[in-house]
Amino acid sequence: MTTLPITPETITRVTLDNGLTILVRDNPNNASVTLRGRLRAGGLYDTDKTSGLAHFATAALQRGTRKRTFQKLNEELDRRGMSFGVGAGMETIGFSGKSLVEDFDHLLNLAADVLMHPVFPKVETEKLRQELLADLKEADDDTHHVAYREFRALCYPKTHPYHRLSDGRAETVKRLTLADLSDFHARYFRPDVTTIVIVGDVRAGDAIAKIERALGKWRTRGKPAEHTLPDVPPLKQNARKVSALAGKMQADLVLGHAGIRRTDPDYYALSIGDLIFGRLGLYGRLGANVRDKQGLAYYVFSGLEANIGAGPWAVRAGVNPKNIDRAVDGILAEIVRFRSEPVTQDELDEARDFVTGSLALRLETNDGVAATLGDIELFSLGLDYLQRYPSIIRAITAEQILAAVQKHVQIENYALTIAGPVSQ
Amino acid sequence: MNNIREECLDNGLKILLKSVRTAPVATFWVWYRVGSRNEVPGITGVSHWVEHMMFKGTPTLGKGEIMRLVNRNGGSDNAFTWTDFTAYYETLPSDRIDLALRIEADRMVNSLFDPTEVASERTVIISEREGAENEPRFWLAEEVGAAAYKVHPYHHDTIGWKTDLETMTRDDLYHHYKTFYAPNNAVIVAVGDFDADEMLQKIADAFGNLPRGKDAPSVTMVEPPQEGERRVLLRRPGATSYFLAAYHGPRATDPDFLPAFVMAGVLAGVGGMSFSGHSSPGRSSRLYRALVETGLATDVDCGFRATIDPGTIDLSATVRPGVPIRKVEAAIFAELDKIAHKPISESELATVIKQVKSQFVYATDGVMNMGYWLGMLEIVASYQMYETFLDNLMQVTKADVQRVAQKYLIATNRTVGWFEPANGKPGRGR
Repeated sequence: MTTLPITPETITRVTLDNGLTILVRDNPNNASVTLRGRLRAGGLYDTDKTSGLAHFATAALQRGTRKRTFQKLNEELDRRGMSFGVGAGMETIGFSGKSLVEDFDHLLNLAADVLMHPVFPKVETEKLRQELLADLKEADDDTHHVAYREFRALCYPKTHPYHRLSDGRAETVKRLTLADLSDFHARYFRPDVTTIVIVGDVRAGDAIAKIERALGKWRTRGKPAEHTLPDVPPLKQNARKVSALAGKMQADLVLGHAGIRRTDPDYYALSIGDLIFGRLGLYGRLGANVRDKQGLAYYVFSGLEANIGAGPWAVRAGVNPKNIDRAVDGILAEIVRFRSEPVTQDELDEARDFVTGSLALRLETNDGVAATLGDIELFSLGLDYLQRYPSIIRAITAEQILAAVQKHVQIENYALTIAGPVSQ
Repeated sequence: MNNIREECLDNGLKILLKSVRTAPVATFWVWYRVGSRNEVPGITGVSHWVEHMMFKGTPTLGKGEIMRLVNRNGGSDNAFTWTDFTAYYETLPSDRIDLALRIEADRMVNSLFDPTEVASERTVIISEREGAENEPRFWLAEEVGAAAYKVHPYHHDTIGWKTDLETMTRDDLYHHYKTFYAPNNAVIVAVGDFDADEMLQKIADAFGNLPRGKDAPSVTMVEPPQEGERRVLLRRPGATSYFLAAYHGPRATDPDFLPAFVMAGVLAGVGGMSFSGHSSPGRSSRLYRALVETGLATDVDCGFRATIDPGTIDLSATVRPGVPIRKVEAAIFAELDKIAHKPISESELATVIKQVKSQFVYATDGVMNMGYWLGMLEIVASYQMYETFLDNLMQVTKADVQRVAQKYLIATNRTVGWFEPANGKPGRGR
């Protein structure tokens, strides 16, 4: 019994009459089922005044439905050893659940109830508001969170959704009303923007019939809102912000700027370049210089958040406050080198071998397969994507990477934020 | 979970193999019977620092080359240190798994501990500690652990005291390595797409010639019974208050272990048992209802791990901003009194059993999780505990749970810690 490679023939993809898209992948090797879904909606629809709305509304779905109180829902999950959760990001709202095969019907039933019939009960929703406010207060004391939040605020203009984080601000979360939450649900939770992926010990035909029973009656009117994010103007100069947090021992810093969209033709070259620069092995070239050679940081890495919109490309590091300048100099020196000379053949081979070779590992579990299928659907990559993927990666050259880096990675006009035991 | 093969080489290296041929992937682990439990004052944190040095090279594998080779072959690798063990693993496409054997056999005996590498790693390790020090929960856990254990080395955190990290020498590290890294102090766990006979032969070829080491020194310190409640109060800048109470509990091999495990499950739910930590929310648990639903805390947990020596049952909560800690403390203690005074219900027992049953199935999705569970249980008790866990759990009765609650959850057996934000309103008192 060996898992088949993931080819278009091994995935069943259907769209129901109401527009709901379903992908099913049978894996008889584990007596569980993973359910994962996404809606093309999220914090991108929040405004400065309603910042945190998608996050709050989505978290509130599980606080009570037509058929289940919050307590009943929790009991049902725990009694069956299942999990189900739903949460809003900036670009998408995601939900995921897991159950034993024998409980799959219950999981689907519960998921459908949460997605379609939340009632936003006053008492439970107010409790949730207090929890979210407490989370925001804790986040204000978290150096990682503050550095990243301020970085996004510097990189993106106020009018761009990426200027904010999806969890909102205390003053907006305090003001959102129950009507705001239920309006958000009514407007954005709709089958024609939703994809459900099922991976586990289920037959595709069965699973689809069950989903149709549970979610086939889900209806909405009109057309869905446009799911796009505006372009981002580049920064015109370096921007820097320091946030002093009392009682901290280490400063966290973020340095970078807006990057590219997932659909950008330079995506693959830039993401392989980023891997070599700050992620491969122990944080790539950055790790070799800043952590290993200079011993300045426990962590220092880069990341490219290419999504529906042009998310940031940024370096993040945690350093002792007295080493901030040296660490920043080390990071900038590596960026200069990244922009001026091509990656070596050895680095390129290592990166390409890693991303193609590690596919087997990523696809080893139900969760891994479900996450991959979800991305294939969100970015319209096609069910044969995993077959095409190795040749896409192998075709990338050092010259392509250099050209992409020179175009998209800046040594000027970057944002730098620091949060920790530092003076402003 | 059957067909686990157990072998031992002449040099004392123990081997556990499980062939799982569902995906073309294999995982290879080496578990050393050494952790912060084996450290003495002055060199606390040495086990963890040794773990870092194991990536810094041998005469044949240069610095950074281990990760490079694993990447080249499409794999992932890492290592971690805990109180009772230090573990290393590589997960690779199964036709590349030989690489893991080559790496682990080499660094078991040949790691260099180059003084310049030790020097640059010192600041990295201190940076790791300072990153943790940014979290109020780290301070509180360290403070409570140090008060709960005055004799046994569970007294200190795995990262080690900062002054020891500043002063420990290269020779301290190398001596620790030479004392504890030997085939007879290690367990190999391999799980995945291979033939067990072939894998055994490969392991014998790679590790069979490594010399048996001297028996590692055993931990002789025994924590004396606690004779009264201990309290620590920490006042530092922070966003809110945190609560932690640690009760001395049973070790993994104690017959009380499973009843205590059920008790923790009734109090807070059976958390993620898989290596990757897929967790069930436990929102129907007693503590969630009594603390979070009532608005006293924003989260609450009951942590209880399988350990070689008696570990602690940890009740923790993040206090809702503005709520006095004493109210959270009183609500938690009231729940502990309840579970000691009245048997849990049939349905609570059934819920915990069902949660564990599903977590076991989830944990077998993927070879990494199985590698983790077999190795971890072999170190703290025996890998056979994995095979018998569910059956034995089903033998636990409501009376067993009540008995262990009465035995362990008593005031004289606990250390209570409060973290109060020093920048907020000054202590509202108890």
